[in-house]
Amino acid sequence: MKKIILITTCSLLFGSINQQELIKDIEKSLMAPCCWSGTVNDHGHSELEQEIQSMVEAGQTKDQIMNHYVRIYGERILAIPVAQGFNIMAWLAPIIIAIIGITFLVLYLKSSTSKSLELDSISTGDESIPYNEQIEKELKELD
Amino acid sequence: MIPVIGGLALNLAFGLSIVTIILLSFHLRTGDNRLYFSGQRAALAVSLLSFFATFVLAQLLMVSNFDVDYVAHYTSRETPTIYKITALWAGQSGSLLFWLFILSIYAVIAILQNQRSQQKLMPWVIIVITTVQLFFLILVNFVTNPFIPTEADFVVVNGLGLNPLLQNATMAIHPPMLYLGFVGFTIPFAFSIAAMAKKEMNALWMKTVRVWLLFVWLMLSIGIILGGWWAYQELGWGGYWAWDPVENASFMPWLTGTALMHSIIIQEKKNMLKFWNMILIIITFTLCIFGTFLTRSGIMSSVHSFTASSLGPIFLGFVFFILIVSFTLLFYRKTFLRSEKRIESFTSRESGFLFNNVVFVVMCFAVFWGTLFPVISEAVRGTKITVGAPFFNQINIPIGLVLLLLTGVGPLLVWRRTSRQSAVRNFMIPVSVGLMTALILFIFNMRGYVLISFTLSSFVLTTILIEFAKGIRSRMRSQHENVLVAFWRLMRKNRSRYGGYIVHVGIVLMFVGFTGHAFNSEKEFGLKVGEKEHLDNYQFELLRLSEEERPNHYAYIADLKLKDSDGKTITILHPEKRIYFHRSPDPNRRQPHSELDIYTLLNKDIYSIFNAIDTEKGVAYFKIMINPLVNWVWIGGYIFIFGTLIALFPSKKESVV
Repeated sequence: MKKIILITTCSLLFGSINQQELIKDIEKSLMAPCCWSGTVNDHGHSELEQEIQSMVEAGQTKDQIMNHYVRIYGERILAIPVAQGFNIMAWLAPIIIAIIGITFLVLYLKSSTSKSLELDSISTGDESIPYNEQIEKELKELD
Repeated sequence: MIPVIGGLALNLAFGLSIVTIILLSFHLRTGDNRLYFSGQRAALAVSLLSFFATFVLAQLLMVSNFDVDYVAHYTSRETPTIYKITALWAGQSGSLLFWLFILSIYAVIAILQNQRSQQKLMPWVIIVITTVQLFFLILVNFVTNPFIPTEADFVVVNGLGLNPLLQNATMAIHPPMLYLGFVGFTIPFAFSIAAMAKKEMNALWMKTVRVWLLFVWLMLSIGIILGGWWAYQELGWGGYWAWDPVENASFMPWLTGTALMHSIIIQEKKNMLKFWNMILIIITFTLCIFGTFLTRSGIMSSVHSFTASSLGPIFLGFVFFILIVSFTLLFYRKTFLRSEKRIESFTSRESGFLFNNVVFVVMCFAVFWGTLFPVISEAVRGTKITVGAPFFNQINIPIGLVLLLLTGVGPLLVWRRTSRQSAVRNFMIPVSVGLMTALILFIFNMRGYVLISFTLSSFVLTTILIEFAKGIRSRMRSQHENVLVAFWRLMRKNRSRYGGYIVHVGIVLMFVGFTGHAFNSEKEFGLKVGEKEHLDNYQFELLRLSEEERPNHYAYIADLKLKDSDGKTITILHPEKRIYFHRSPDPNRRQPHSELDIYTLLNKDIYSIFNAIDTEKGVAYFKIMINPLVNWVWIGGYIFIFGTLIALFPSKKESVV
């Protein structure tokens, strides 16, 4: 009997922790439909917070709740756009720019370093100087 | 009468700015120095008239002259004096005048400081600065004039008053700092355009531009940090950065400006990357104007936005004008800007700086793209979407961590070329410390970004400490100095280098603070007097609820006793629920506002928000947040500012030049 009570208490406790996490997660994923400047979690929106809580307690999943609000407010309610169709460009464009930037840099460095080797076949670089001596050399230049 | 004088000063400044540009353009064609001196004096007069107009508006605000629409809109008789002054930049037209005011201060300093030393460049410098002034003069004269009289048939007895969110001490400093940064980029931009136009880019030019850049970058940084501090103290959501479009607008020029602060070191030391640095200067200045466009166009919904207005297309037009003129000039001067020297190796400090530049620019693009994506998506798909803070965190946290990594890698690379041997030697200790940290954190069950961020922070801090230690040891050995003297002289001899390292320490501490966000906890509850609630190991007891009428608001004050797990009283928090404009007959004008109370410890903040009150039931509703490590964001910020100030002071060697 004690075991049953313990298990029931634990499941209730963990159930409520999971529910709280789910509520937080949903509140962080939805924009507050008043001034649209922050999520329900950050900005606060008592009406939506209560609705979300009761829907979670009624056993609805995150997807069901999110879809419910998309039906009411449109896609604008989602803090992160749905990653499909043109929206994928939101993630893709910075990645493309990063690839282009790094490619340009690598090509520039390749051409620059090869030309530099042609110009200066006997390296006078600092590679042969130990690091400590390099620092001392730089500091002496300042004195 | 006084408002009319203010308006006249702006009219005159507008006319004189055109005269300045014409006179200097003729000087450039004919070489007649009399035209230059006349143009220079006209430019100074434009600035003086702009000062005068700003002082007139400030005076009208101070004496509550409600005959002026701007004064009636943004102040009331009850507004405290300090906020009557800050109302100068609270509204559309006032803030544009304030922009002009700051630009005029910079213009006078730049003209007087360089009139002899940079004689060849000055005509162009003045033309560029005056053109920017002319743009703002057009706005304040013809589009949104701050001296327009109130449109009422009756005498306006009292004004509407200042938004309560702006009635905060930080708000008195944050916008001017941001403006000092935003507007200030005009000066290095003007010197860059002048250098390209005259094909003149000597050591003195370099020094002038570097000092201006460092100063305005510092101002922008302080502005951004203060903005975060204000949001944290005032907005009541427990955070300091929401990736709001206008926050992003200030962050974008900061990112390209920071890239520039690094790559300009290569230009200074090696006379390389001139073309790239010009691009960065142009983009940074354009982003400053673009940021102003974002705030004023009404295309974005933001807590910072001014009312939607017709200013959007005008600003956008100016942005395109800057881009077309600057890039055309850049194209014609590409041979002049070509570097003779080459980067010698992938594993050199120069390459490190370039990688850092690419990452900064990519981050800037990610922020730019995310900010504008709702507008682009609506244009393409016809559907309104939101790109909120979670999206920006998803994209920018990994990029930020790469930047943190580069902060540690950079100092370990040697100029020109780092051999494999020295690379292994230099990286050995910092990498070992980083791995040890990672292992300890892993044992303590930390994973993901938290693990990476703390690991990288320890790696970077170790590299910086080693840099200082090696420099000090070297001086002790060669100059026979003790530790303190060696440290002091090391800093004095190379302020930009060691100031830069201190800035990096500040950045690392800020990252530690950002990472602390992962451990935040919060709870919302209602309490009657005498009732208690718990969060983490703390107990909150509502001791008392009181009410107080103050000059510009009505306040409900809670006395919330905070106890630790041992039952020991730590402090009594006093969060307030305020109703601003409570005497207004129009209930819609009454504005509720939660005044927070925060208990600060070095390792966490206990953040109390008085959300609402049910006076009938006598229940007060609170939101309590425990924010670990958040104070390291501000401590890091102070260190960051201190480091930049050190770098800003010229070294002895520099001042001799």
